[in-house]
Amino acid sequence: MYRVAVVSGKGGTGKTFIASSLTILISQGSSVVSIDADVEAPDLEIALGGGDVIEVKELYEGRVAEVSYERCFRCLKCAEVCRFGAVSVLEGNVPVIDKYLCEGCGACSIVCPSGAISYVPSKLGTMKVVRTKFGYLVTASLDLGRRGSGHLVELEKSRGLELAKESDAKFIVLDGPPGIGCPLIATVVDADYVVIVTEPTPQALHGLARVAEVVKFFGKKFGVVINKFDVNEEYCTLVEKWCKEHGGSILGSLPYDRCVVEAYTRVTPPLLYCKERKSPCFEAMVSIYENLLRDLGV
Amino acid sequence: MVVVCVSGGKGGTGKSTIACCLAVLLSRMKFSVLLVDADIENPVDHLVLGISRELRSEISSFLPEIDSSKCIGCLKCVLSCPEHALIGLKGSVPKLMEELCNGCGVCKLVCPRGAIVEKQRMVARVWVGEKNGINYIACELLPGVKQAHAVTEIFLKSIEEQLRSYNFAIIDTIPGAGSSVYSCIKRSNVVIAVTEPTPLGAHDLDLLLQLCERIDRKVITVLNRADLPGSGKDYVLATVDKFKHIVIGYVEIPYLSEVVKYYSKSDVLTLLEKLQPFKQPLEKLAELLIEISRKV
Repeated sequence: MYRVAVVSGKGGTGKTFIASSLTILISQGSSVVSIDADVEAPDLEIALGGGDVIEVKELYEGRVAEVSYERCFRCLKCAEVCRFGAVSVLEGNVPVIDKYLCEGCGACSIVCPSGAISYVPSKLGTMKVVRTKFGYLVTASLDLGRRGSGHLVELEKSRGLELAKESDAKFIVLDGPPGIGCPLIATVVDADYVVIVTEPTPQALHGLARVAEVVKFFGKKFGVVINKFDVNEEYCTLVEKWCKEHGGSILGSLPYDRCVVEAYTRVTPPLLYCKERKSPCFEAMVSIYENLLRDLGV
Repeated sequence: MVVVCVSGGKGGTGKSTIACCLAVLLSRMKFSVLLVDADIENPVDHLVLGISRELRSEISSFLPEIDSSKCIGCLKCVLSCPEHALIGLKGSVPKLMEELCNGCGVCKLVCPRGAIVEKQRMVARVWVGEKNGINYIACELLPGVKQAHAVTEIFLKSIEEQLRSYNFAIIDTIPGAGSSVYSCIKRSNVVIAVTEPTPLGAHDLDLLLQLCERIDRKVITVLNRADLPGSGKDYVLATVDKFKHIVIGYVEIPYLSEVVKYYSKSDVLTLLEKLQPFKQPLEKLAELLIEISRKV
């Protein structure tokens, strides 16, 4: 089984378009499971055209601290010891815990002399399994404003692996989050191959360089897709040069095509819409898929 | 003195471009402006505005180091570590798996022998710069560091006073609706939510607006590339309508192919010079912010 992660440093470069397209192309020949690892803005379900929701799970994995004010001496040791800025102090030395910032580490309860701090379970998010036309999709949504997106991705991956074994899948495709933080690390850490999506702009190249550093740190093989290459063909040369210097293969380039946006507004998988409209994106995507198989040695 | 947060849920909707353009327009109107790039995972505002930035400081977090001469192998640290970053057998000195440590410091608190020494590890850099009267500050997470959320909070806390000493502080956020975005929003008087006319844009906008609703923040929604074909705009308008009790303004920016051209060359200033249909809605947005500043 091969695990392919689709990521980018900058947001909005086309990760979901590429992850959904790869899922669809793989599903023509073998079984595949897709995972939406962008848990703060999960859109892969829309891009795959939806399906039957066969499982919904509310996840209460973490905990947050709570102060009992009858017991609290107002000594503020908790505020002193918290390294996440989760304890703020109101007038009259009243400590208040910000549940969005609390890591549930337990430091405050260890130093509290009056045992005023206890823990309540906190909701991490909701995870769903959807049966799409292109295999199982595992998708999750982080509880708003919360930490723990990396942990949520880990849980999605475990469920995805079970489904992959059950359905004898040859591939798992992960649609990653933008950036280089915890959920990105969770997305790439056990991937066999990482597809980095970029655009020919200085902002996106900046993101590419940063995400590639993380990918290389974990010793992963990676290939680059230049999306909307024709908005600045000059800059493509710079991206290609960067890839050559940093050991990434170029999987291919996609032209800017309004078909993709149009497809989303019709809630149709963009790859299928591109095919129907004879968009050059379709052929380009097929060639990216073939190059990916070549790089994987399949 | 208004703190404005430019966010949007989905990535690539135009947050940075709009944050930078607002900074330019407001500073041209002689307001003092601080542009805060809090997209710590990929900060690019300096590229968009052509600011040559310089390193101001570094952000570090706690990392334990075990003094083996003091450690008695009691394993209290191992058992209390919430991230399972310490492993060890009874009677031996535990081993730290650095990449798992979140820097909470619990191990140091529970160690009965004071065998845990506080070491610091650098997790982010803070950059500053100035251009055409715009003051700029940005935080950049080091690749490989997991604690992005904690870093955003620490960074913004460290500049809290600065945020309040300008006519306008504009915070450009990370995509999504997680804890990093929360840290930005809670410090803001108003949130600008930038989205695009697709079901994806509408879906992620919905998540962001739910977060704004929970912590009681008012929102101005900006629909970027508003005239793209298809019914995507209807999805966004339905979301805006659902949250009409917190949405206090709505601005549309048309799709202009020239915007992509200038953006790809990081030339926002020319963009504002040359493209009236692009500039006008942004001026309207600036006016809305000025109106808000009169009430704050």
